[in-house]
Amino acid sequence: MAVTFTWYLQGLTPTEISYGDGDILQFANGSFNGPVYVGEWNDSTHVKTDAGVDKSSANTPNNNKFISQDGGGGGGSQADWGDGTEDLDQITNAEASLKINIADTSAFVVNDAIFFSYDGIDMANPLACLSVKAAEVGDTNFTDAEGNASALSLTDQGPATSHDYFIVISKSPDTVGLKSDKLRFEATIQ
Amino acid sequence: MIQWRVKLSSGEVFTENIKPFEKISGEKTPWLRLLDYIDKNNLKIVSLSLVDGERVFNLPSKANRPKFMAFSGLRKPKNFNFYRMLGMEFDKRELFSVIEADYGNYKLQLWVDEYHKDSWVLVK
Repeated sequence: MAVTFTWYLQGLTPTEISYGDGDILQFANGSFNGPVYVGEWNDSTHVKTDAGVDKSSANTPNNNKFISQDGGGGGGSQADWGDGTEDLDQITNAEASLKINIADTSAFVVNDAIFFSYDGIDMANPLACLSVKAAEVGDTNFTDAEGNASALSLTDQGPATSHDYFIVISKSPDTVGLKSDKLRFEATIQ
Repeated sequence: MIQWRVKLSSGEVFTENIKPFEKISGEKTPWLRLLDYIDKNNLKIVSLSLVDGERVFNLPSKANRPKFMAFSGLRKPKNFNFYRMLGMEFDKRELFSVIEADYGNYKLQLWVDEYHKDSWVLVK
């Protein structure tokens, strides 16, 4: 298998978060490099290069902002993805911030996929003082995807040569200062 | 690339990426096609290995002629499985080939790193 793995920040045009180039996903206050205040949630999402450039600036990137955990219809979560507050389960694939693609030339299945944030050292440990909410498109509620024991579980996918996972993600600092976590995706493929 | 190798209850031995289980663009992976073949012919996997060039990583098998006395009289796996485990971060790619012997109430797994060739054994 020559499997390829690719992360994208979606938008009018997707921005690849390039492997090996030092790209990161930046959660900001509406402006590139703009800090999100303590207790607030991101108003913009960007791909920042190793050189500090806003790689996604021309692509009108999506932003998914956490609003509430259970204030929506039927106790579902709420988020804002550009049209005001809506129930999380109404977001579409194209409106999610993150897309993860796994591809190969033969048709493979994907099982037991998970997604989570951690501190970059121990996958069991969330980054201190950072709240991370994540959901797969179609979920009714957010998961606090902080550490692998609290990972977001993703849907199994049947045989195909290309698999996409669409993830809604929002972050909030609990204290003042730059927060740099790692986002990780794991899955079994056959 | 690390390949799986199976021996079936029919006595047939198959290896990933070698006919008839070569990789074919647009079709199911060799492993999924093997499972279809096993199901269609009502067969079972007798032994399962990973092969990396001249190196072979073996799980305990269902075979009846163990090489050493220490292998005799041991519990035999009920089922076998193979998959690849991938992990990805923005700056990290990990891919392991995993073979698994299922004993019913626990599983013995052998993991081999596709990129660095390190291996681990897990009991779950």
